[in-house]
Amino acid sequence: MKVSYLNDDFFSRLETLALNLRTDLSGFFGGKHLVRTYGQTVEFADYREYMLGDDIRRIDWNLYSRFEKFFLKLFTDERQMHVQIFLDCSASMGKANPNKAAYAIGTAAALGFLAVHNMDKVSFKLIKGDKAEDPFGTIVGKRSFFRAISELENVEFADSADIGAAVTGCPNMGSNDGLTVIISDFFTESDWKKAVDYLCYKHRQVLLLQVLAPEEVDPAYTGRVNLIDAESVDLADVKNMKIKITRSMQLAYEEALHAFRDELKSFCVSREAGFVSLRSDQSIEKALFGELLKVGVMA
Amino acid sequence: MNLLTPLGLLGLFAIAVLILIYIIKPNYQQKIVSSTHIWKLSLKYRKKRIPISKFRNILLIICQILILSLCAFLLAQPIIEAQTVESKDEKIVIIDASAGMLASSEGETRFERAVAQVKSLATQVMAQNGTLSVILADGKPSFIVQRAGSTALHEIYAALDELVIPDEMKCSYGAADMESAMNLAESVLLENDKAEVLLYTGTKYIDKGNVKVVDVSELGEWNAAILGGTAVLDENYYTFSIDVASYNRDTQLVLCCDIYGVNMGLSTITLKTTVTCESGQPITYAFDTADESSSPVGVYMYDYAHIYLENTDDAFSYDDDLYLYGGTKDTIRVQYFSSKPNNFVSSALMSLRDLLRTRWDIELTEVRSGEPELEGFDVYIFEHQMPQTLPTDGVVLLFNLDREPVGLGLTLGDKLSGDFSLAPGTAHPITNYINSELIEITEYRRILTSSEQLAQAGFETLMYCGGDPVFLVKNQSDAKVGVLSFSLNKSTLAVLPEFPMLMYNFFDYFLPPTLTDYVFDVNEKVTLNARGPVLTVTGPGVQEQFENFPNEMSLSVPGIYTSTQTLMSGKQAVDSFYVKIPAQESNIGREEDSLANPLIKPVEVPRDLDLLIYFASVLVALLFVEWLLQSREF
Repeated sequence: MKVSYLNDDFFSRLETLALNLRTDLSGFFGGKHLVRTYGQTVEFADYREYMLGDDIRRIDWNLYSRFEKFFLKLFTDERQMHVQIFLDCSASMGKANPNKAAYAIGTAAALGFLAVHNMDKVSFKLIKGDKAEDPFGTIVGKRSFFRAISELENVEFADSADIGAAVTGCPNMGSNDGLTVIISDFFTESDWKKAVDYLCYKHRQVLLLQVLAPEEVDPAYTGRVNLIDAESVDLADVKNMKIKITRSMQLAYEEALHAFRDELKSFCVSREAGFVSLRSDQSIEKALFGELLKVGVMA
Repeated sequence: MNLLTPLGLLGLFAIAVLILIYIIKPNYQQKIVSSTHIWKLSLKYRKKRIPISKFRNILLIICQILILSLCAFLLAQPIIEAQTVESKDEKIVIIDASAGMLASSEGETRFERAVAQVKSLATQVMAQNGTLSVILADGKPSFIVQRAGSTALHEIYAALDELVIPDEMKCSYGAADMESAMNLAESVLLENDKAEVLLYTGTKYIDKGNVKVVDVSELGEWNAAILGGTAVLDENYYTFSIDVASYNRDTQLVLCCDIYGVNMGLSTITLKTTVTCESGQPITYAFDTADESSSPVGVYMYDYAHIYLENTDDAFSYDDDLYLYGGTKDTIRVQYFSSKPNNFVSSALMSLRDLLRTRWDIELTEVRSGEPELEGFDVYIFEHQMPQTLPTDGVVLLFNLDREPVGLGLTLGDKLSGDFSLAPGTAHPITNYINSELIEITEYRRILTSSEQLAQAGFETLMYCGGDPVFLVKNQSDAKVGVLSFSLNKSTLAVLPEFPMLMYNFFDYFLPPTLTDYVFDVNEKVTLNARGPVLTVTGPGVQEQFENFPNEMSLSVPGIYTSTQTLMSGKQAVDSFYVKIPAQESNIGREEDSLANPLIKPVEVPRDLDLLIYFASVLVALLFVEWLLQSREF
């Protein structure tokens, strides 16, 4: 049975939230994100001594009366950002567990909604193989957004995905103009770190969202098991493995998963990227209000 | 170990099924997951196994095989059968040795018949390699043979033969203590609760309990019996009341009563009557000697009476006779000497004479002037004026000493006057029911003899006045003396009820009756007392001397017994009494409601040891181990 989080109730609950992006991004004119550059908004930012060529209309005459010097009153600037959401569409995200796929789509949609809701541009990029498809283009406005996510629900999760190749090979990545979110389980042998490095190189704010199914966090199966990887081609695929799962193996798995997430987190920290690991049995609202608020992406 | 349901072992086939499952079970279950990447990483984190894990699988299968085996054994209901002692044919024979077993028929008593039957039984039991115990149930039951095995047949015969040696038959003349006999049987039953208890008796029991009663009585046995009798002095003439009965037959009995030494003479009269008895209904017949139609003379004194049944051919002859003694009373001579005669003493003595007339004829002699007699009396009472020497042939009571008679052993002091109350001294039969503190005196003579010297002289102080002894008593074989060192005229004693009581106690203490009765049952306690230092009792097969009184003896043979004692005066006092068969033993056909059964304590019956609980415990332990092996990775 297909699971969907995308409905009116879901989006209406998100209307109170907004993305909190870095202020050093340049973005585009016309958005609602406050940035470091001075602009024409009404929000005071600083004073500066008058310099030749400045508009004399911006001189603060009150200060002149006190100091007999010319000071200009500066105001902050508001920009529009471009939020890129890379969704891992490999089989590992949905073949074994449809809930996980739905959860990933729901998370992507939620972030997209927050973007368009705050007058940002958003684009959904579906990582399939080593390519990042952009079926909906750059979305501005809710109408376009809802049209896009109605199709997003029908995305098929299959084959494998090379996040590094897909991100680095993605055209029109832009530079210093917004947030890039990669939603994946990161259960891949491909070099996903390259993608993060590339995005950092492009001065984009990066957020990695790891979505895991409950049984991936706490595997309940024991005994002799032939683990068939969701992305494997056939039973003889090297990704598959035969293993006797015992309690000690479960503990080892737990330890390995923990180390894996630590590695992700430490790498992201080193790259000033955000990292959040989510369980698909956790509500998306809780994820947004909790985990994303913790890392400061949400405000 | 045995199996109650051996078919349960079919459950062992489950082991084959288990092995089959191991053979055909799929090796791996397939599972599609996304996390093989992590599983591969986890291999690095897997801890090293300890060596036992190599054997885990084999341990697991062994465990499972054991579990299945145990389940199969549980179904088979394993037990360890209790080791039961081989049941032997054991008999406990109780031979009733009460007097009723002496009832004879055709020259053979019941007792002899019982012994003969027991011998026959012993032969049978020994032939079956059994065990036999024989208990003789007389007044004090005992084992004749205790748990004798087949090798002791000759010893059993010898022991049984000893019971019926002519003239030395071990059957008692009294009642049987059946309860004690059953207690002895119990001691054997504790060893073997399957032993059979047999009672050989002539008594019928309605409720025999677990005891098999073998009746050794013969058809047609009957008994005419004199159950008891009394001689009552009624309006100066004796009436002889006799209880007679006939058992197992309605008959007419000729009851005779020969009275010897009638009215102090040598004549003998015979009273005879015929009484009709219904079986088992005792009747009382009275020979009233005051009635001229019944007796030629009125008997007011007699030596003894022989009551018997004439011409009876009953089975039990020991109760056909009865002797009644006590028809002649001793005379007690009392001399009262006083320089100032005292009516209180005279009155007390006369009261005593009346009170004790059934025991003695008390002959009083008052000496008011002149010299008192110092011999020939049983009791001497001196008041105010003491004799030179004390009489030695009787009891002496001294009131108000004026001097110390020779032989008294007391040192007298001056008289003390004043108002004094007496205090009690040593508790003594003479001061029974006497409150010394009520007695007040105005004058007494001090006795200066120290308490140690008084004790050495054999005196006991019964009353004190201001720390001085005023009432002393000595009871020795050669001197029986009572001393009151104050005058009755100067005390309240004479007007108190204590005085006649004191006199009675004095007489009762120094002149006790030898016997409490003249007819006793076999094995009944006979209380003996004596005025002299030694009492000799002789009778059928008995001659026993007594020096301490009161004393008791129990006589096991019926017949006439005589007690002889030498009084202080040197005269011999002879008393006779008769020991008879107990009345209930005369009823040779009696039927009792229930027989005392041996109380067998519940012996722990060895039970089969059920191994289910142990097997189940091991099963649980193995299940736990199996679970541990399954769930834990070592």
